[in-house]
Amino acid sequence: MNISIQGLNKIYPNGHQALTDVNLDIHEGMFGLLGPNGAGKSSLMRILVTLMKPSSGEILVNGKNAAHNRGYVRGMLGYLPQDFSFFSNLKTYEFLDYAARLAGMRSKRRRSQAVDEMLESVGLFDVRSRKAGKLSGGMKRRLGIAQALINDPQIIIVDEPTTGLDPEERIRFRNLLARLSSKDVIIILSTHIVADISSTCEHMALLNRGEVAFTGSPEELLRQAQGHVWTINVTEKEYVEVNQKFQVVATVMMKDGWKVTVVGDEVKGYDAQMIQPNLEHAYVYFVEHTLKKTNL
Amino acid sequence: MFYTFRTISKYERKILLRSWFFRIFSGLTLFIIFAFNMGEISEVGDMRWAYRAVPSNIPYVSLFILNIAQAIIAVFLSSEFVKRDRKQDTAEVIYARSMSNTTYLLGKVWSILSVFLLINIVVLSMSLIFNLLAQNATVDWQAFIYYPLLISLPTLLFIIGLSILLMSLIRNQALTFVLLLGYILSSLIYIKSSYSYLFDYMAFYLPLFRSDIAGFTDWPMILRLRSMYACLGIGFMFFAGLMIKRLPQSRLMNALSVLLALGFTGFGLFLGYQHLKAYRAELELPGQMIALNNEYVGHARMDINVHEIVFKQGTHSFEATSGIRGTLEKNSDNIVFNLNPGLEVQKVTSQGRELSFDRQLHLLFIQLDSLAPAGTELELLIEYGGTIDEDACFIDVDPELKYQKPDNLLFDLGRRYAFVGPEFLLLTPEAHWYPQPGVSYSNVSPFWYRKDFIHFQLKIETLPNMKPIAHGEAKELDERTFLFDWDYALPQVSLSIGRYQKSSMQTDSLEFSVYHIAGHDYFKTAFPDIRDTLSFIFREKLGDFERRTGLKYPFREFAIVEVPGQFKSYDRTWTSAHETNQPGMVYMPEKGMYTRNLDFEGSVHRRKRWSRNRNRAPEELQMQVLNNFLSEFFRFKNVETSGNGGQSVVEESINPYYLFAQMYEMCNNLDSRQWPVLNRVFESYLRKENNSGSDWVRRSSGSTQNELANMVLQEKSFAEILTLSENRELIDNVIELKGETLFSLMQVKASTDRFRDYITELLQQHRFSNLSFENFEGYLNEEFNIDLTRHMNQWFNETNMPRYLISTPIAELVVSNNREMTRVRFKVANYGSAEGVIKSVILTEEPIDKLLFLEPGQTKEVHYLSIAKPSGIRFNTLTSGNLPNQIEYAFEQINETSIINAEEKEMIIDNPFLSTNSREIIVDNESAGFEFTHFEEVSRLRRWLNTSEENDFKYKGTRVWRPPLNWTATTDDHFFGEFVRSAYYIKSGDGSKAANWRIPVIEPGRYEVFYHVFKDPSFSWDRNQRGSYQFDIPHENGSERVAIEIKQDSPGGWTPLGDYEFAADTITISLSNESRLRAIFADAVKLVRMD
Repeated sequence: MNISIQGLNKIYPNGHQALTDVNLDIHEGMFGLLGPNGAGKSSLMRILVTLMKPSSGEILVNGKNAAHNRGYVRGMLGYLPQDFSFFSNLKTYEFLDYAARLAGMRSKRRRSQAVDEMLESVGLFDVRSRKAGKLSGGMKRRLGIAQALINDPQIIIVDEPTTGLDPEERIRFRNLLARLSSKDVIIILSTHIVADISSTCEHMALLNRGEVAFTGSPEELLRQAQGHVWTINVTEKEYVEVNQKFQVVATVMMKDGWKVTVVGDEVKGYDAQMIQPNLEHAYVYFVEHTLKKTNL
Repeated sequence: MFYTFRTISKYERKILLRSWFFRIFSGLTLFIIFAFNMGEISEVGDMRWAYRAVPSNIPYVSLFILNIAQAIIAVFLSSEFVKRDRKQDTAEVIYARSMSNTTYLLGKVWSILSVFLLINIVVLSMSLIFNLLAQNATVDWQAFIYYPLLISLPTLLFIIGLSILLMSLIRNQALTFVLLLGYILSSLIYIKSSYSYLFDYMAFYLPLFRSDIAGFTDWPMILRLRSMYACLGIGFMFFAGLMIKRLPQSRLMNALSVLLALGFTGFGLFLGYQHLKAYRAELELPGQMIALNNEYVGHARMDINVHEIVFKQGTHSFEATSGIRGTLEKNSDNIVFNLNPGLEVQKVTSQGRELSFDRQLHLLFIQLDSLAPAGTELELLIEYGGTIDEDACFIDVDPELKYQKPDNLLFDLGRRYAFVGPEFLLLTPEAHWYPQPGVSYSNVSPFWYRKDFIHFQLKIETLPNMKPIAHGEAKELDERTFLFDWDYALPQVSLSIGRYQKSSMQTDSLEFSVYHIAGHDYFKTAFPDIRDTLSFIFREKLGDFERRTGLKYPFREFAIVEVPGQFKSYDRTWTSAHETNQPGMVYMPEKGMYTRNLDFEGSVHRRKRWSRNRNRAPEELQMQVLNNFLSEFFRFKNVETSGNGGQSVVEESINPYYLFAQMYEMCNNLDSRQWPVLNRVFESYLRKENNSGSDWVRRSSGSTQNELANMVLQEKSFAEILTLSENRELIDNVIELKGETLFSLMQVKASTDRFRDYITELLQQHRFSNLSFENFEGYLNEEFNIDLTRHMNQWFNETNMPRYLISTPIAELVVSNNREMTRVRFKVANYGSAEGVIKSVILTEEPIDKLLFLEPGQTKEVHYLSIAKPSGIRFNTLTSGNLPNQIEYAFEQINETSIINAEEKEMIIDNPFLSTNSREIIVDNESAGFEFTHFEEVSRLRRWLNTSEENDFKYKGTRVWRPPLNWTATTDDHFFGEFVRSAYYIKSGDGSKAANWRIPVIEPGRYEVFYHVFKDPSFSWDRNQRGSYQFDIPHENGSERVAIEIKQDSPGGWTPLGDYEFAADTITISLSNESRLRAIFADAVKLVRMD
């Protein structure tokens, strides 16, 4: 299983270029797509799920051009868009059954079992007969995830899946994806929440202003930030100064001042201590330093 | 693909079924249909016979109602789901699945369709239950299949397709909804049946009636139109599928969708084009035929004496041979016949020799061997075959009338003029199924019309198990061959063939028969308690009718022959006999579906429920129902009123089953080559019956049809009217009025009561043969010294009319021949330029008819005597300058006198009779001095909804329960007027609208002022109605507002408004519309000099 994105460009009719020469190779496992809002993640997702035509470039799925083989691609897909509402008059299990049927599950017995299992795994079994319109925001999100995962799709594309989920749900979801990624499937996870990727993805790409700014493993991204993350203990007066000089990624109030985590090439004149970066630090470092340096 | 389609439709259907909009709307629709069935079909309600008589009507009418509702709901639902899809976030999870766009769209469409089909099933089930419970109604199972396929499916496919296509194009649900709703309303209100139902996508006007005998009215047209809408709808869906904002699944599927979109739409358009072509041909054919008739109206023809037809029935055609014997009318080597253009002439021979012939549409020109002189005896054998082209029937009838939807049923039954099919055949002379001499209808010459009495013989070979019905009893030669051979001449023959069964009763010399289709013998169980007397009752009724008209029923049998409900005929100018009336028989629609009088058991059942009938014996109720049924044959006209933008419209038409046609049209003819219409005029006189006296007709429409006819006659001569294209609906009344006038004039000139008896004897002598005008005139001259020709020219060509002024009649007790009697005395003056006759009826228990003749300018004082005390007298001024034509006076008291030698007399007096005297000044609403404030106040909605053209007659009906917003002229014999008794009336209001009488006062002085008060009939039953008329009267000492109170017991007529001093000037008295009364009538003001 592999997806090869080659020279992909997307220019909207209003002239806005959402994607510029995107080239990516995605193989089995979890692939994280990280980027700030407006980076072009959703555009790339929508092109990947054949909802939108690229202006140029192509996507090959297992070597087949997706533009000419939409049925082939769609047949393998499970997709959760960034925002979507439900048919409010359908019950939870009916909606999932609808998705399962569309995903090609013909056996009623198998479908019924799969629906129940999926509802169980996303924690919606107890509300299976509740109308979708009456679910809470988090429940709706979980139902969305469930419909994307039903019938074991080979390519799962999830766009900002954890938005609106509470920490417990988020962990449950990550675990779910992690479980799936052990199978022979491609999971593309688009998010702006770095933690989603750090805990699950073996490979990732960073999109910025429509271009691929980084591609590799999260560890590689971490490596780039090694030696560039610091904690500084500052007084109230110094705090303002530090905020102006550095990219602050975390601030903790202490008894005698603040403990501020910053990214930067060098920190001088403060009570600073270099620390091991996490992916969030690496992401900020990459966006704020590497990209700015390369003018991306 | 099919699995995905089913999946989408399944869940979309769930969503639809759970939508409250859909639930409420469909629940309401189902309730309305249920209520309709309860009210119209069940025993709880009205038990409408038209629906129960033909069982297919029960599911038809329910789906007819449902279809309107579902067409509207479907628009909303279709546009709604496209709108929902436009919110990409909702649809993306579905769009990302593997399926083609077409599968997705069709799945959605099927979900809507299936939900509606479900409602259709519910409605049909409801209909079936009502059908099973309905009295005297069988179940037409096929109708339960046909109607959803013909009504609901094409409508839904089309409107769903159109909705989603429009929504895909416009992308605005509200705008789409408004546009489609506009289209629906336009098709219902404006477009209607235009272009032969081409735009009637809801099949609201399209006749989908399915006869139990002959099936659908026009199956090819129905299939064409309904398939057209289905194809267009499907085509639109495929187009909409191409416009979905989703990348197509595959190029192949996309290309296939394009092909299907173009294919279905193209085929739909092709069907529409075919329909339009057929419609154009249908419209053009009559014009082409009339043009040919006009061209050859003077061509030589044959006077036929013997016509022997050998007829062989086929499945969808027939073959026939006509053996014709007769004489040549004038010198010629070529003669013309007319034969339906759908029939092909194969061969013409004369005494074994083949003759050449030429066909031009319906005309058949036969070339004789050589020029033959008039009177030459000819013997022809014409072989022909084919089927009937019904577009060639009733070519004189306005196409608009042919497409008019009847008001008495929700749906149109359609119209057929002939049937040629494997199960049923019906051919009447209008179908021109056998060669008839000369041309057919011409609009430039009345001489096309000729009636000949011919010795017909009919030999019929039918399809297996069929029975032919023509006049009288057939001799069965073998299983499939029958012979009709009559020993007297007939003016026409008609033929029907079907699975007929006969039920008959014999009384005296008359056989009363019913030929009904097998299974339609529901009437046999009717009248269980009076069955033995049925034939006697009919004979008695017929006897009464014979006595009333003075004419005898001429045949040995009177048969009712059942024909399909679509069989239609129209009033004609040259005859009062409809195609439904054939010698010795009438064609009645299956089970007499049009009239509830033929729902015998249902009628008895309904009557039982009336409280006044609770104690009546069953025999009595059955007798009432039987009498109502028999009245179908003895009523001359059908009068119907309908609303037209708040104004009532009265439509009179000849009752197609009227028995009088048998007693005159089928056996006699007054043959005038110069005035062919004379036969119809003569018949009108003989019939002695018209509807001109209907007060309610005048109240509804402003004038009776005869009064409208009279108005037309004031402008144009009879000869002109007969060729006019406008006011065709009044021609019948014009003929009636002219007939009554001419023969009343003859009768009064004959100065004897024997006139009518003599005429009827004459007709008896000329039964089954023509009575020529020349002979008729000779007889009248010889017997009564009447010169008919002298009157004819004036009567036919001139517009001069009498105008009568009649004084208020006085009734007084006198002695005449030592017997106390009531003398009715009045004066009458003829101010017109032509002689005239007034028909008077002295209203006693047995009304006394009188005729009064007046030369132009003549005044007479008339004394009539009556043994019984009359309650009043009614004058009918016939063709005259008077309006209304009928004036009735009630005698409130009969004066005592000491006159002992009273006698009935008419005295010519020298002094002309005047309506006013020298001391009076009267200004009527017809006078030049009358004026009123005019506002055009018609709401836009009403103007928009009122699409039918208003008639251009000045006088409208008197609607006091809903008076007009503007001053509107109306007539009534209780209004003041010299020749025209009229007034203007208006809805009472705030006083902003006034009527003014400008009265010229020549001599100054004191005058008493009177107003002519009209009290409409509602005062007689509405005790609480009261209010005032408010006048402004300017006089020498200023102006005064005067009110007169009007209530139930206040008098009508001239009512005093007080006395005033006036200078020699024109004074204006005003009447305001401010009042508590419903309506204000502006009639006449009178000033009477006091000193």
